[in-house]
Amino acid sequence: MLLRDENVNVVKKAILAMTQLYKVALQWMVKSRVINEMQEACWEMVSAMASEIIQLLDSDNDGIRTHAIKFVEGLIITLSPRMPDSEVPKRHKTDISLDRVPNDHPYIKYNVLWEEGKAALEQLLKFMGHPAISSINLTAALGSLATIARQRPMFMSEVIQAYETLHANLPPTLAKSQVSSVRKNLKLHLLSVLKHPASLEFQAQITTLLMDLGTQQAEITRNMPNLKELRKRPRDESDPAMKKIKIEPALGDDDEDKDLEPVVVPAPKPSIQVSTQSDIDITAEFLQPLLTSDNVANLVLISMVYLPENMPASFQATYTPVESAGTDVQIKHLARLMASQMTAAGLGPGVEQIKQAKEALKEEKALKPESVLIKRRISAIHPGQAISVVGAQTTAGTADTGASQTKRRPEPIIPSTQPRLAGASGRKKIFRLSDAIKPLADAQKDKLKVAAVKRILRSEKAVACSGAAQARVKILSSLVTQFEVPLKNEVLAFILDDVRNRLDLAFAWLYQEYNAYLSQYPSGSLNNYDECLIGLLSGLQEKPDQKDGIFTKMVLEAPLITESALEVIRKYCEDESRSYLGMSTLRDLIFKRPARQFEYLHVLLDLSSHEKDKVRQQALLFIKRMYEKDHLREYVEKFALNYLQLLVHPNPPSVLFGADKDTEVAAPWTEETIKHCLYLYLALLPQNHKLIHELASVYTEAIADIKRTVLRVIEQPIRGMGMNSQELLKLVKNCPKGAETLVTRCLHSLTDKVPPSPELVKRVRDLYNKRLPDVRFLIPVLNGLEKKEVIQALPKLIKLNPIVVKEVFNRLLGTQHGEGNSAVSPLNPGELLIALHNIDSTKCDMKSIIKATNLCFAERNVYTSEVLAVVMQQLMEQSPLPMLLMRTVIQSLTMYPRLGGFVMNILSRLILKQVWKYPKVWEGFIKCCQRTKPQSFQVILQLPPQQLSAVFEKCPELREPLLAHVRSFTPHQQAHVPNSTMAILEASNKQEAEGKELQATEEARGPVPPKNKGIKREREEEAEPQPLLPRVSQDMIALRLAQEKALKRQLEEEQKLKLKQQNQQQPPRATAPAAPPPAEESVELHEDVPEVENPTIFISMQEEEESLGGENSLLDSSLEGPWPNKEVPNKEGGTSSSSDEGSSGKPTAANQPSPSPEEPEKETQAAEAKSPSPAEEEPKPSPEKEKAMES
Amino acid sequence: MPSSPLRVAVVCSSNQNRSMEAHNILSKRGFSVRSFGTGTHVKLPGPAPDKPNVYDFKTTYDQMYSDLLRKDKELYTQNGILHMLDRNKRIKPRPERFQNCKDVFDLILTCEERVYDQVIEDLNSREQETCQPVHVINVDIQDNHEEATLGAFLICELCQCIQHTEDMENEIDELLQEFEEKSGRTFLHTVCFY
Repeated sequence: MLLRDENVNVVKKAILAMTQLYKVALQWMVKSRVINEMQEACWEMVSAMASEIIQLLDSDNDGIRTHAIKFVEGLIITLSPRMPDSEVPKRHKTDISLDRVPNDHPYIKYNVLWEEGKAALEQLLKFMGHPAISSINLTAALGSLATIARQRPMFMSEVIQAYETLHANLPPTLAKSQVSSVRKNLKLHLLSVLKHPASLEFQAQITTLLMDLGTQQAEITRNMPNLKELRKRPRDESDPAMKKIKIEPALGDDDEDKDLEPVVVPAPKPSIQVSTQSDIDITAEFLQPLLTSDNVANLVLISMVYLPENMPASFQATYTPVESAGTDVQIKHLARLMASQMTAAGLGPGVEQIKQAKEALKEEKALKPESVLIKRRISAIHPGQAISVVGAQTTAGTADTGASQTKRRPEPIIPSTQPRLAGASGRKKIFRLSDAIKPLADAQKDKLKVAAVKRILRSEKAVACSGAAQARVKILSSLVTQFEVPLKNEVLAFILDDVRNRLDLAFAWLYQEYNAYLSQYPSGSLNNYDECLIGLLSGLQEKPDQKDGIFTKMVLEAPLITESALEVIRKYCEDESRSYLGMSTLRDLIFKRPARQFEYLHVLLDLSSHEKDKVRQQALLFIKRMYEKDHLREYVEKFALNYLQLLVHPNPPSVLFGADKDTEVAAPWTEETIKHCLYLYLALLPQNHKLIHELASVYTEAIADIKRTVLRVIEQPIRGMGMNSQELLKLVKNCPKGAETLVTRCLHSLTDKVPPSPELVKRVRDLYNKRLPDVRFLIPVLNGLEKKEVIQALPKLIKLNPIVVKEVFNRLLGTQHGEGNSAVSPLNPGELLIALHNIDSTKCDMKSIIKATNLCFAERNVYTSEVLAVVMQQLMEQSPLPMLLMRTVIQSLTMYPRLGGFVMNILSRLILKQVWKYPKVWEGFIKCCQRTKPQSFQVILQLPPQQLSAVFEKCPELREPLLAHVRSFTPHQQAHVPNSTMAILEASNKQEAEGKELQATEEARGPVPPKNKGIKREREEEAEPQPLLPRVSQDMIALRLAQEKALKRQLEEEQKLKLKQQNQQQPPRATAPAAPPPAEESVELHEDVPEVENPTIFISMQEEEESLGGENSLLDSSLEGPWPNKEVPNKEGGTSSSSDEGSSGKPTAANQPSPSPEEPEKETQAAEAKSPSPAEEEPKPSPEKEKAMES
Repeated sequence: MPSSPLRVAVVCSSNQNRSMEAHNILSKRGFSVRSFGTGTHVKLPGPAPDKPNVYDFKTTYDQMYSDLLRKDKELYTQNGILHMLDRNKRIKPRPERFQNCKDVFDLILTCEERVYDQVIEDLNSREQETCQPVHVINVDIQDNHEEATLGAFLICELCQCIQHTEDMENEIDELLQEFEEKSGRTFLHTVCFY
């Protein structure tokens, strides 16, 4: 069917066509007296189409509805009888209408059509009353109603009422301009209706309406139906009213207001014609006396509540100030307005009366069904408010009699709450819920959801102002708890945006999540809570500024700390800048949540071996404090010892590498991993000394690398324990096998800065004497030993590694402790030197002794000229003379040239002691003389002739100057010179040629020379590259001087360094790094020194180079011994070009003696081989250090 | 009604300025357009406000033109009347009165409320035959050259939008609402039937 065509235009055309076709079809049917089947079918189809078009009033399409309205209009006109006062358009004069349908038509039933027509009108009225009608439909319907009213005046009443209702209840959906359009239309149509003579009855209402619509009185009057026409009309009742109206125009001409008084005469007609009185009229009458000022005021107050927030467009457009407020007329008008509302809602006495009348009519109808006339009349009266028939019946039915009394309250004029909306089937006409809504896509839903939450989030400030912040937080938190992840993230981000102010929200959320978990306990999962907490915590962690402790607050106030949250806290602690905050949080957790305190403690303990220094320190600090608490103590201790025990494994266990690598890793121990195991332990050690025994036992089992590291790190805590610690003393006393080095290290650490306590000395001595006769034990407590013991140990001590020897001397001489030299050495410096000289050469080789004495000489501060003088004096008085006497004398002289006089004295006294009987001393004696000429001439002259000649034999060059010296004497003086001496002096002069002969005889005569020579040869062998020396000897001496100076400086610096590094550096270490700089300086000094000091020595050396060579080399070797090892590899390459002078000689000097210091070391090592020394097994990254520590 | 071109009528009171301006533009845009006046006479401004030039609808634009040219060339050149008449006579010979036209339109655009009222009154007073609907829209335009031009463009845009709607009657309501918002003007709108 075309009516159902897809194209709306087709449908519209079809409707238009039907408008005409229906009439034609009816006419055709009516005309034919005999109806055949085809006609029948045709009419049926037309009827079906008509009803279908009526249904199209509900169409979705505005245009179709408009057309349908038009069709319904035509249908109504066709299906209603033309009346005498009907306005008939000329063109339609011949059109069929119901009055032309014969009553006795075989097929077309008059009554049926009539009912159909009325039903159509009802449909139309109902349609018009729909609240959501479009403005176009409304105007169309208005027009149609006007047409109907004019052509079929019997419907006038319904039409006017419809207009009134519409006017009072303009659809709320209309826009402002549409409202004015509609009003314009309404006015236009009212005027056109007014023109019709049948409108007379309703003039009052129409006029009121027109006035309300802003029509001028003149215009209304102009449109009034012709009075003459009216006069002819039989209805006299209206006359009085008409008269009034006639008077009125004169008054109203200039008064264009809605002044209703003259027009709206208290209409007497309703009372006369009860049957025609509409329900509105009845209700209005009923209401009028009730509208007292009080009641109205109450009504206004009550209705205030229902007022919409914004002024509806329709109200805005129609509102005009009420000028005649309070007058009777206005009250009446108001009553009428209210009545129309109430009637629309199915309330009020009017409705009930009409209802009753209707029922009565129905009965009547049942009695005389065929009575068309009556029926017609009834229909005229029939108020049948199409708008609300259904509603009216139901409400009236329930409300019963009381309804009229009780329900005087006006229905609120809020469009959306109009009761008509409810049950009205017409709703779907324009608004079908299922049409308007469609299921959203999931993505869209989510988007909307997120947007909604965002809005709530963003409303923060506004809500806070209005004081509903609490509610907002509650809403948000419970919402969020039910959300999916993206929304949670949204909220999380929001919270983190300004944590400080949104903390309450954060907690609300957190607790809500926890609550959700608890409510499902025990089956519930903590995941959501966990995520929430972690989100918050890690969010906080990323915040740059954390001074306000929100993180701590969050952690402490969270109802439950989950595993992963703990992980976050741990990460937080690992952040160096926040470790303090993080750990104090942990501490609080430990103290305040005893239920799981060990879990938290474990985290803290784990952190104590963290690779970041700061974090570790912090953790250790905290743990130390924890350790003081008894209930935590055990756990901490166990943890520390567990870690300590790990060290006994050959390889670091997996624990140290984190949980992910669970196999025993083949990687070797590194310093890092070793330290990992120790940090905590070492921190605890000073607080619990007993722990030291654990270390000792672990130490004995550990591999060398670990031992070394342990030794390195143990110092600090040991020092913290102090030498009075009973546990330490116990350790020293028991000294487990294999822990010797550890004990030594402890001892060193303890005595490094302070002299050993008698108690400690006693323990060590016991240990040394009874169990482990390793002299190295004694070193730390040397100063606590007795003189005798020291001297006894001395030979062993000086055989040790040179660096160790140096330390021993430092201790003994007190040079180590700087000014804080409270340690009273058992030996004073002089005694030490003497003791050295007196060491039995069978117990110790000469080289070690020489080296040891050199160390003494290096301490210029200690060994002043005075001390040396005393030493020399004492040595000289000994018998037999110590072997190294002359060496010491020469060295003293070199150091302090002003000792020359004293030395001469010594030399003279040596002659008295027959110095030549001691070959070594004698040799030194000659050298000394050689060196101290011409001062020594006097001494030489005192020698017996035999010895004198021996001297000359050795140093022929001495003779000439000596002779010259003697000759320069006064004759008197010369007389004192013995002849034999003179003879030797002169003899050699005469027998220059025979010199060799004489030498040979002399050699043969005394046993000394050969021996002497032997020694000399020996020494020359040692100093193999000696031939080079003469050339560079000048430099050599300068260098030596420089080195001597440097050594002094070095020592001074060492002392300074010691002071600085008191707490950290061990003596050997201090020496090692301190050595290079002076060495470098020595090379630099080399330039300056010779100019100042060289001359005096230069002269003496120049002549005796050769003979001094052996001695020289010895001196050099001993002096340079300790450091060429370091200096050559380290510094040689880097020395400046100024050292080129010396470089040619230096390497020879350096290389040559280098084996010699090595030798004794090997010997000592060999000697120690019996006692297991870790040093032997170890590869040595820095041999010096390590050895120094072991010894 | 995208397929069939809209039958448009533009109506002002004298069928001189506003309706002709719109007529001009709409016809250039290819609309089937006609223009009308609703007044009883054609009135053009005269030398003084109370002395307008009044013609009846039978007078051609050309005649008016020459009449005014003769009366006061300078004045009517200056106030643009001659120019307007010149344009008008090129569009059609003479003004037309809406009430005398029995043609059927789809869309009638009026240029002020008074004209709108007259148009509706006229349409309603006619006897209905076809029930063919016609939409009447009022766009208020002041009666001067500038406003006429602006109004004409607005009308043109409106017509184009309506022309492009899928189902004019169904969408015109919303369209007008949108237009009201966009232009800041209010439109009166109703539907009548032939």
